[in-house]
Amino acid sequence: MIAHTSLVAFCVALTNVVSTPVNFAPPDGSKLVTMTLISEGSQLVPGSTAMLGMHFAMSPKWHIYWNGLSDAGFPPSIEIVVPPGFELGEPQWPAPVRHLGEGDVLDHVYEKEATVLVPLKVPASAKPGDSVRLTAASKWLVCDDACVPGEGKSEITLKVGEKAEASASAAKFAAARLRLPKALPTDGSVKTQVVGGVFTATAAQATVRFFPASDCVALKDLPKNGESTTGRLQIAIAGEATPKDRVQGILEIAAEKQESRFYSVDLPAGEPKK
Amino acid sequence: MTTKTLFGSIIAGALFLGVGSAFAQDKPAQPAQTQPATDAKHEKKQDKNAKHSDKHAEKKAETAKVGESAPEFKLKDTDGKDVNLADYKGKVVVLEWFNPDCPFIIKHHQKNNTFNDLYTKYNAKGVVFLAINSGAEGKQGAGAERSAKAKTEYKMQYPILMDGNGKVGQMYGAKTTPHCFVIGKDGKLLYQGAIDDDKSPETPGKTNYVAKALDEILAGSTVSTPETKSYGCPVKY
Repeated sequence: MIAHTSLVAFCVALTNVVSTPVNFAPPDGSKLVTMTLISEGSQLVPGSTAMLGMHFAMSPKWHIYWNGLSDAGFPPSIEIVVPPGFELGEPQWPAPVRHLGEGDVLDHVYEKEATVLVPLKVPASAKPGDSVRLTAASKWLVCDDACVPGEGKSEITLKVGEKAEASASAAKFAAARLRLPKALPTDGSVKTQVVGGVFTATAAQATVRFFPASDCVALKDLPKNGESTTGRLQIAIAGEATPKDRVQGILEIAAEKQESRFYSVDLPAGEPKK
Repeated sequence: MTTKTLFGSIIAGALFLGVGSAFAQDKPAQPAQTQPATDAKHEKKQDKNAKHSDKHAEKKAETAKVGESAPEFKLKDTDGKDVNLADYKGKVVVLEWFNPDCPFIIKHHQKNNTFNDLYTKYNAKGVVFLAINSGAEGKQGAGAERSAKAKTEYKMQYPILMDGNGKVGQMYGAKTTPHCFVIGKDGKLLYQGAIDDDKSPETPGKTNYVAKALDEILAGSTVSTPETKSYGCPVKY
């Protein structure tokens, strides 16, 4: 940040001297992010579901976007081409982090690195010993103070085999899974409800954050209400909820000295029918 | 990481301080006169924490709301000429939040002629267009010089107003570039949100929400989609 600011200051100063318009060459968004197609297993086992991942590595201070709600930006596209007979499942997006900019612009983003998991159904007819080439492509918006578009391609060739060991990339899958939302615990340690047009989530002695999914009902003042350090998160629903509207997204429970836990929230936004 | 931690404490602070005003934004927006963006430099020197909470408080009191009076403002254009929203009373006004180097502005001003076409069609019917650049000094696409150059590059026929301290942007709750606002002849805000329904940085959408709102306003009907979620780059406050 400091280096960047002083560089800008230097350029501005220089510009004032030579009196020409400020015109920074924009950084190349394709170089700020590296996308790599990875596989959790070392081989593809016929009739099984393998796990692929699109791993995004961001340059320091730059971020890309989650696929849920943000004020700005858009998520990277997930495009994987597989041979006939192979079938891709729904991408699984790990929980993002909040990025609150000046002017209360709230974005939900990935910094440093993120892996979007994509299940791959291997046909039972796949022949052990065969090589399978998989290709991935993605287009993204990468931002720090500036925003630039970028794109990347990656491919991987995997052998079909009777057994799959953990690949060299397996740790990236484990890291991503820690941030995938799970079903709410049944022990009552985390409570969620919508009453009187207000979504409430409670968890004792924890910071509670809510990341609304793209289909979530409109919520009021998320820059302020989307995070609570008191263990009780309260967010009012904007306007009148229809029976179709739902409060959907990921809840983060961040207790001190513990890894954050992530849960799926999917509640009707309106009052229950009496 | 330092920035993030700082923001974290600001958020936490705002949570404690701002409980009483949690729904202050529901109060009717007060039309407010703001100063031209002359003291942006001075403001930048202030303590970042204080600056943020000031902005927060300000925003809560004055955020524009559809159906209510659009906040008034006076800003300078790229030639240093004052432009006062009040001077356009009796006309329909379109505001476009603008950052010449944002890929979404490039999409609508360079890769496609979305805004120029919109201007040509509706200016002929008396609609006023104003672009506003709320980028803070030193940020991507900010400043009068860059904007003036972009105005030529993009062949824009309407002024780009300088809001370097971001006050007008925050008053309107402008989140992205572009973020569009349509103000009716009576000064009421009638539409806020996206230009169209394609959030990609390349293809223009099938439905242009601003054109739709303008058609309805000019036909004397109610705007059927008064609010959408804007998309684009975050405004570089």
